[in-house]
Amino acid sequence: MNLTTDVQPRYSVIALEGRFTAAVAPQLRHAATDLVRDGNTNLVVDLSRTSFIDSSGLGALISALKSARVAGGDLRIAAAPANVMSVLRLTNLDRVLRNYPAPELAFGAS
Amino acid sequence: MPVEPAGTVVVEGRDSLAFVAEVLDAFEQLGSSSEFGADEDRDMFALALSEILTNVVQHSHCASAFKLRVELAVSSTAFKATVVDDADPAVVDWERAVMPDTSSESGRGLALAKTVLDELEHSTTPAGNVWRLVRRL
Repeated sequence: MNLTTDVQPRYSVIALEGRFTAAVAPQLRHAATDLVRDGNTNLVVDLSRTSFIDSSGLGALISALKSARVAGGDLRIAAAPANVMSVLRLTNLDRVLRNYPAPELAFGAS
Repeated sequence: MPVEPAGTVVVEGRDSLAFVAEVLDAFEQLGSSSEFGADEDRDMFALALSEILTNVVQHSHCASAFKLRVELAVSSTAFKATVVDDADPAVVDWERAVMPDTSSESGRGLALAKTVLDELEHSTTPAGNVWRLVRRL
């Protein structure tokens, strides 16, 4: 699993490649808290290359969402594949984590 | 009509998240090499596998490392998995295995597995625990 972050002026992108499971969840949490601590409170999680997500991945997203919101920002997801969206719907998290077609659209085009 | 087994795979290892990944890899190979089941069946069974195995690895009580043996089977009628471990007998609170609210950071695993499987059973033996997972096609 590969996690990369890209800090941009209006938001930061965390991209996950591979399976988003318990083995990966701590990395996402840490990446999010580090970004928020540094003042980057608008986070987009790019799921375009995420092949799989389970409840551990979901938990990490919710945790990161809370960190962002407590700091006055927000966390959104982008480009989630169909199987990831299925899991979000099963858990009602599709209402909390709205999927945007692409990372650059998550916080509105500038 | 007789059930045609398309294949079985056994994965053995010790309790670790790396082992969970190995099992998911094995299922991915097994599922993609068979013509049975739709993508959704494969995705949802893989999800259930990950939930149960992660649960076993993270929540089992055992003073030291313990062993796991996972048998995966694909046939024209179902995806099946049997997970056997030699950890202490687990106590599964099925009544609490319901989907928590959206603000919850944990506790969804068993509820998700139950939702996507047709059968999910846990039993204990003198040697450890056995989980049976079935998704009918």
